Amino acid sequence: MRDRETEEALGILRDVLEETRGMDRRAFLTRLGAAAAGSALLSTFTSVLSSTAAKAAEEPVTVMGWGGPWKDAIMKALADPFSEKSGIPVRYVSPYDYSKLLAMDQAKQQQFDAVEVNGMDSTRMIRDNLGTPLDFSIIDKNNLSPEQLEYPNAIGACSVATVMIYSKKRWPGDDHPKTWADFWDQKKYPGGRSLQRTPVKTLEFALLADGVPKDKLYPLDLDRAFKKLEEIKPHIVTWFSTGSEPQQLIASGELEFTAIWSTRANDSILNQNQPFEIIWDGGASEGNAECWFVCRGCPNPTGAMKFLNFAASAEPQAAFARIIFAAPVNQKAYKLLDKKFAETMPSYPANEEKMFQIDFKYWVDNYEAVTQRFETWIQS
Amino acid sequence: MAGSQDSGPSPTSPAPVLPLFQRSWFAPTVLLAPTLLWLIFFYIAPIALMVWRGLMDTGLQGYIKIFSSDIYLKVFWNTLQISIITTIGCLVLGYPIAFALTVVGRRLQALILVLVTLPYWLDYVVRSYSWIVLLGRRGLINNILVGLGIVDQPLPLLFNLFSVCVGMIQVLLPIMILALFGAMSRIDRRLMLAAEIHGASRWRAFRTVFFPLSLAGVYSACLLIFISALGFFIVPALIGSPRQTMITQSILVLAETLLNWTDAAALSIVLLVATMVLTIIYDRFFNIDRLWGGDQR
Amino acid sequence: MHNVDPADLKTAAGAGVRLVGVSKAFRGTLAIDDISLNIEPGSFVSLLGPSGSGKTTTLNMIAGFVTPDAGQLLFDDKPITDIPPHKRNIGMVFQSYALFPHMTVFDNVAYPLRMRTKLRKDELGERVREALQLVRLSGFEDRYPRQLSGGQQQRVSMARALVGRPRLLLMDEPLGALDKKLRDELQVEIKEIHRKLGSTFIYVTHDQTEALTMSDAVVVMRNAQVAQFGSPREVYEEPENTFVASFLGNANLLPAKVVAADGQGQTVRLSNGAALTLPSGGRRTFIAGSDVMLLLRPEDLALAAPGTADSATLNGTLHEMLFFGDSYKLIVDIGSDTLMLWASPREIADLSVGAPVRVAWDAGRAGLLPAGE
Repeated sequence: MRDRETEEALGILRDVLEETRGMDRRAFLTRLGAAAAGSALLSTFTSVLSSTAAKAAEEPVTVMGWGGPWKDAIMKALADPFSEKSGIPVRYVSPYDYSKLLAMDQAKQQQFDAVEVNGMDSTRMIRDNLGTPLDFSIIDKNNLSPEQLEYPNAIGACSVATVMIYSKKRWPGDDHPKTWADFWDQKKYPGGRSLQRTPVKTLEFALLADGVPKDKLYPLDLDRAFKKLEEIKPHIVTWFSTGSEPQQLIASGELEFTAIWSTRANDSILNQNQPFEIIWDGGASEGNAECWFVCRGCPNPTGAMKFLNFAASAEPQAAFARIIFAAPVNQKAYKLLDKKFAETMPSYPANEEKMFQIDFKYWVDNYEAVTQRFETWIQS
Repeated sequence: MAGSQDSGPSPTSPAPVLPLFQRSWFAPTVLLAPTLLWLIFFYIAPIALMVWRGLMDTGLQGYIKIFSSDIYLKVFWNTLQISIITTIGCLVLGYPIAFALTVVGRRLQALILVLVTLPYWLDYVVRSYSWIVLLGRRGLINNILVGLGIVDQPLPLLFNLFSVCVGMIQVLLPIMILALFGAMSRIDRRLMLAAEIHGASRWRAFRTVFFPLSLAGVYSACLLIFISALGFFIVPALIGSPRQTMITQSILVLAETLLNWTDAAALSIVLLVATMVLTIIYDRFFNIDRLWGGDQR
Repeated sequence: MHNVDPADLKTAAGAGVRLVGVSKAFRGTLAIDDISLNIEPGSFVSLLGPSGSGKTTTLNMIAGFVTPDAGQLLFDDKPITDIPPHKRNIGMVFQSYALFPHMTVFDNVAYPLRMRTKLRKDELGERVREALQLVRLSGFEDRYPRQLSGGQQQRVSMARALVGRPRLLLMDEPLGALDKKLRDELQVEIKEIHRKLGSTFIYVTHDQTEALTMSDAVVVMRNAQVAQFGSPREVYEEPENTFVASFLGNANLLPAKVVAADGQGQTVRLSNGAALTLPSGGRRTFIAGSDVMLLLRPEDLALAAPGTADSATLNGTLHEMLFFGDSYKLIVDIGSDTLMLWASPREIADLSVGAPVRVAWDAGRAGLLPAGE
């Protein structure tokens, strides 16, 4: 059930996506900016005719999520077009801090209306019932794809993965590293490598390198994983904790190959034209677990529902993917993306099937204990 | 009447009743009230609440865990070690610059001060990344060293204790320089002339007069740097290795990703108490006012 | 309290200081403009002048804090321009005392000895106690400067300056920060110390009385130059120009023109038309037609009986009469100019403002100075 304004905003995004199909990120952003400016003029004109007062009085929706480029992408692809047409302002709060959300819920002082949380935290949110049931009289299910409704009280937001990339400058031919076993093989593939400073995914990679099939990973054999990790520890240049670290370090030649978030990998390859290649095999996919929620006890649930109704649609998801390379969960979005671009996305079926799904249920139950063990190990 | 007032109150006359705003306690109290209230509501009260709740909910469990686990003891040691090295490094590099600032002409002084404070406009993250470009295996310094044949293999300059300290010194050096410069500016330059005319060479005059007089400022500045260093987390995270994990990094992991607020609170309180104890010890021996440019005792 | 034998402290002899054509500019402004001075060994010389006249720069140059741009500086005929301050063997007293705040009185006074000598501990102590005794501060050894009054601090500063028995002692307005009573007291003591030590003292002051009372010679400075150099009596009684005349004491300066000059003396005409003849023997003679200034010191002037006819008199009317307790200050209008003089209440008798008066002086006490300065 969409009103005319939402339809208009989606239409503008659709037009821009179509016009720039196959073009790069910059071309898309430029065209989107122009369209936004044009529609702003238009909306000023129409809003004078329609009820200006009603729109000005709209209660804002407070959204919590990641900062930096992520925030920019959310604003451009989702929030601004939504506010433009609905008149509901979006207050975006960053940095991402799940503990804040939890603390506010415990204090019964929830300030966040809508949140986009990562796979781990969305599993926690579902476990602790921090979300509120979605109002499908506002959110139009017809515009969503079933993948987005995999989890209760949640709508799939985007799909990201952690993968291996290698430098084609270092290995131009076909003898490049192809598996985590290769990543572990310092003799065959000498060079700087980096892993994320977290046990999640890292232990899985170790087990894959040690020959565990990707469908037999969970529950993790921790002793075996740590034993395998011990082998590679001296060769790790750095254990990264931010997304930009591996991106910068492989670009500057400090690393020859590394684990990296798929969004950052694609930003390097598609946006910065770096000579890297993604190895989807053995990648860690978050699947459909990164979700939008409307928080329990939030101040503006109706506004949040309206925002989700817009944000989870195919057009914003496609636009978001074009800006920050986070794959859409809404499969309808793929119709708006060029095939070549679609093939770079972790939720693209051919890629997704090469990866393993992170078992967040396992991780939510074991996270603290394993992290303590991991940190003790890594710091010694 | 006028004459008797001029001669001042006689011993037998009652003390004059001053209007409220003339009483000695009035002005400071009124002026400080907003700051005090702000501190109480937004700083002291939340911390007190955090400590209280922690003790109520879990007793001393968090503290016991912290002091009995090797990993936190290691983190304490890292933090202490890095902060001490950073403080000494800042002092060694900052003292000559601060001293130079006190002897150069006004125009050069202004230029140096601008250069010293310039990095402040740069983001921590950007500054840390620039160290990667310089110190990395393929970084500028190693390229030069290897290129000139001084070393065969690139030196491990990055992602270790060295790079963390270098990065932190870079961030904190301006504060050290400004604090020292402030303290040194208050030293009467004529004392150096007095020393020289009475037989001391420049160097001896510096050693016997300027340096001892600058020590109070040195202690203050070092305390400031040391306490600032204790709370660092971005620099060690970006250009250190896990072996250089500092307290604040652990607090962040505990609070934000593990959601273990009991341990996070305990660790924070330990850091806070350590900082307070240091400050109190310092105040017992030196006048803390000097930090803020107060009178020398 | 045992007395210090002045002989113990007497230095070998004061150093002679000579400045030859010395100049110094700061940022293009001349602070010292081609100054030459010859300061006798063992003398007490004051550098006197208004602020900005160059006296402190001159002192700092002698100390070695300031390097001259041109000219030469000699101690006992040895050039020392290139010798750094700490090797010049000078003692110095600063206006701000410049005591080391982190050292006790003892350590402050011992400082020059520790820097310049390798005295044994007991000798050092003895010397410090002697110096403190000389400035009457025995028993203050363990105090810190901040525990002392301004006057006491200045005494410590003097003890520090003289403990090393320097042949040259520089004092930069040492009494400037003290109140009048203390200043008068210390002036006497400084003079005494000078006599006991026999060193050369160079003393900067802007207080003319201080300069005149304490010095063997006064260097009057003005605009980076020496306006006059001479004994206190010379500079006071025989000023070489109107600046020196008016800077030291009070002076009546009357513009005049020399109308005749011969062996008998010089005749000048004042602006009001009165002609005066000054006997020869003055230190300056001017040719007829020169513009000059007639200098009459107020203390040389007196009211004369109306009938007396003398060349050393001027007629006028009483313009102003100010009572000063022991005397009256009179301002006499002589037409074109005014004269200031002092009179005792007895002399005033029943005079009142507007009354005709006659001012007289001993003809030899008037002086002529070149005009235009």
